[in-house]
Amino acid sequence: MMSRERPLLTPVCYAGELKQFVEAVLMASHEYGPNLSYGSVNLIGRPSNFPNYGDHTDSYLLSSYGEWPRLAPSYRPEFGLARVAPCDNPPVDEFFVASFEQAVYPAELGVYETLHPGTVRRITCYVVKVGWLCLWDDRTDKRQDIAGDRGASPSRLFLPTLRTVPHRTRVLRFELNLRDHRYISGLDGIILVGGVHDFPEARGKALAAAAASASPTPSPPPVEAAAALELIGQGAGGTGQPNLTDMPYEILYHILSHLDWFALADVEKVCVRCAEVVADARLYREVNLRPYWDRVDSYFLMWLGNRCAGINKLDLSGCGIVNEFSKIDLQIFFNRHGHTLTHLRLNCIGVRHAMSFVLLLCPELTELCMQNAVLDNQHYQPSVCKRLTTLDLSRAQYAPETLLGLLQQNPNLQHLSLASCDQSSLPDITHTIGEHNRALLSLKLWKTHVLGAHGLVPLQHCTKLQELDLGYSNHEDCAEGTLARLAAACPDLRWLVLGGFRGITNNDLLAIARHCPRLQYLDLMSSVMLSGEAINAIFIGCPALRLLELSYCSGIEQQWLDMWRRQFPHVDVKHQY
Amino acid sequence: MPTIKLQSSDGEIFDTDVQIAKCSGTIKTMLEDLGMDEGDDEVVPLPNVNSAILRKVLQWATFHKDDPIPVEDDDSKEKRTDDISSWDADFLKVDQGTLFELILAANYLDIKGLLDVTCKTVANMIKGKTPEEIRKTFNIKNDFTPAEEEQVRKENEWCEEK
Repeated sequence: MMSRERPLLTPVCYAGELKQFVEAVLMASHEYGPNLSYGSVNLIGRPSNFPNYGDHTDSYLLSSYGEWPRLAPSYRPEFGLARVAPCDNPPVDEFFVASFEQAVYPAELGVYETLHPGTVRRITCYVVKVGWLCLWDDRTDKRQDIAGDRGASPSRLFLPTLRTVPHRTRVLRFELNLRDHRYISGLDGIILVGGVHDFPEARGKALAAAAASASPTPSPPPVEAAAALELIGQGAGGTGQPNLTDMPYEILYHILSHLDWFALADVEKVCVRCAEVVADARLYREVNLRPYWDRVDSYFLMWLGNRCAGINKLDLSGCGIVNEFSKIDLQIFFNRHGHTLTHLRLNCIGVRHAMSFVLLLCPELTELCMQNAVLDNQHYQPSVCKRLTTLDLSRAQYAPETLLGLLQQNPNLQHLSLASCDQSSLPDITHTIGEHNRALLSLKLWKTHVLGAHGLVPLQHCTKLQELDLGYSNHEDCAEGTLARLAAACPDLRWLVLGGFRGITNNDLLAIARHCPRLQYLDLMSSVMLSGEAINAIFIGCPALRLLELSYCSGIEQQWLDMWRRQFPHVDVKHQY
Repeated sequence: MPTIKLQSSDGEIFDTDVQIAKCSGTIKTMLEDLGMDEGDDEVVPLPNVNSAILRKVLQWATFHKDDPIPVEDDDSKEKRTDDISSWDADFLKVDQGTLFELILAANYLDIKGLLDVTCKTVANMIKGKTPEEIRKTFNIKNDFTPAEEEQVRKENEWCEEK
C-alpha cells in the first residue's frame, strides 16, 4: 500500500479525494492464456503481492519480450505506416484499458510492478463527450518510482507525474513497451487517486490554461515554425508568384500524400481545390489506424468510407474500445469496401461479437487477423475467403465448423495462430490441418489443450513448418515417439515452443537435436522430466540456437547451466526460480 | 569536364557540367534522344525556368550529383517527412513563392529528389494546422459555397466534437 496520506506529486489539493483500484479490465491486447492465471483480470482490486517480487499467478504477466516476436517466422510486419509520423507511433507493443468505479479528476496514479518494471510508456484517459486525453507520456513527462519494501525488493510503485486534465474520468488506457525488455514483466495492480469534486480554484486555472491553448490567437510557435512563417510572409501576397493552389494536380497530390488521414481531413476544409485532391482514392490504399486509436470513431469511419474506393489494406487494431464505433458502422464499411481488401487487421477492437460478417464480405483477403473476436453465427454460412495465407484467431471464439471450413478452403495458408483459444471442442483440428494446410510455415496452438495422445501425428504432413508453438496444447500426454517423428519430418524448424507440453521426453530432445539444425528458439519451460544430458545434445546439434527457455525445468543441475553459459555465450539461457 | 549551355527563360546562359545537368531527366532525355552532343556548342533552352530558380536548381543538383537514383514511387514507400537532411533544410529556407517555383521547376525538369524534398517541406508546413491556419499560411481564399461548406462540416463532425 501507499505509505503516504496525501498525493505527493500534485501541487493542488483536490476535495473529496478517493483512492480506487481497478474495477474492470475492458480490453487487454496481451493475455498469457485463456484462463485467469497471469491474466489481465488480476489487475482488478488491491495488489495481491506487492512488494513481493516474482511471476505470481495472480498478477498480470506480459510474457513477450525483446526482439524475439519480430524475429519469429510468424511475424508479419505492419503495413500502412509510411505516412504515420514517428511521434504518432511510439514504440509500444501492447495495451490494456482499465476502468474504475467512480469518475474522478485524476490527481495521482500508481502502478504496482512486481516483475521487471518499466513497461508503461503512455497513459491516456477517456472523458465522456470529450474523447481521449493524454495523462502521461514517457517521452515528455516526469515520473517518480518508489522501490518496493524500502528498496529491499526489486518491485516498485511507479508514479507518473500526471498532466492536469480538467475533466472527470474512470477509464484509463495503458500502453506498454515490451520490445526493450530482456524478460517477462508483471503488473500487480493500479491505484488511482483523484477528487470526485474538483477544487474550484484549480479548475478555474486548468480551464483557463485549456482555453488559452485552444483559443484561435496562436500561441508562439516553436522556433523552426516561426522561422518558416517569417519567410512565408515575404512571399505570399499577389506578387504573381505561384501559390499552393496553383500547383498542378499531381504535385498537390504528391504533397498531400505525405500527410496522415487526419491531416487530410483538415486540408479538405481549406478550399475547393484541396477538397478535390483529398478525395483522391489513391490516398487511401493502405490505411493503418492502429496508432490513431484515440481518434477513430463512427464519423471517421464514415468519412473514410466515402473516400477509400479500392482500399487494399486496413488495420483497425485496438480501436473503438469505449464503443466509439459500432458493429453497424463496420458492417456499412465492409459492405462497401470488403471486396477490395487483401489485408485486414481487427485485433482487439471494441466490437467483439458477431464479427463473422467479415468472412462473408472479403473474398480477396490474404491476411486476416482478428485476435479476440467472437465469430459467432447462428446460421453457419461458408466463408468467401479462399486466398488466405495468414490467419490469426488468437483468443478468438468461433464455432468449430467456422474454423474447419476456413482451414479446408485455404490450402495456401502459411501462418495460422489459434493461440489461447479455449477450443476443447476441436479434437480433430490437427487432422484437418494435416490434410488441407500442408503449406503451413507457422502454427500456434499455445494453451489450446486440443491435442490428444496422437494429435501430433497428422502434423507430420506439414513438412515446411518453421515455427511451431505447442505450449500447453495437449490435454493428455502425447504418445511416445510422435514428437520425435514430427521433428524428423520438419527439418526447417527454427522456432519451437514446448513449454508445458505434456509427455515430452529426453528422446524427443535427442531427435530435435538430430533433425533440426536450424533451430534458433527453443522454449522448454516447466519440462521437469528433461535431463541436462538431453539438453546438452541440443547445444551440439543446433548451432543456430540463440534462446533457450529452461525456467522451472527442475531436473537440470546448476553445473550444466554454468557450463552452457561458459561454452555458448551467444545463447540466451533463461532459467528462473 | 564536359559542359553544356542551359538557357533560362529570361535569356541567361548557364555553363553547366554535363553530369550535373543530367540530374534532370528532361535534360538527360534531350541530350540522349535528340542527339545533342557534348562537343556541340548548342544551347538548351529551358523556357519554363527563370535564371534565379535555375541557379538554385543547379546549386541543389551540384550538391546531390552523387546521390543514388531514386526509385519509382509507390504507396508502400516511406512517406515520412522528418528525414530532410540539414543541408536541404537550409537550402529550402526560402520565401514561399520561391519554394513553389522550385517545385514547378523540379517537376518540369524531372528532378525527383528535389521534387520530393520540396513537397515534403510543404507537407511539413501543413501538418498540425487547422484549416484556417492553413489558409493563412498559404494565403488561400475559402471558396466553398455555403452549401458546400455545410456538407463538409457535416461529414467532419468527428473532428469538431473533440
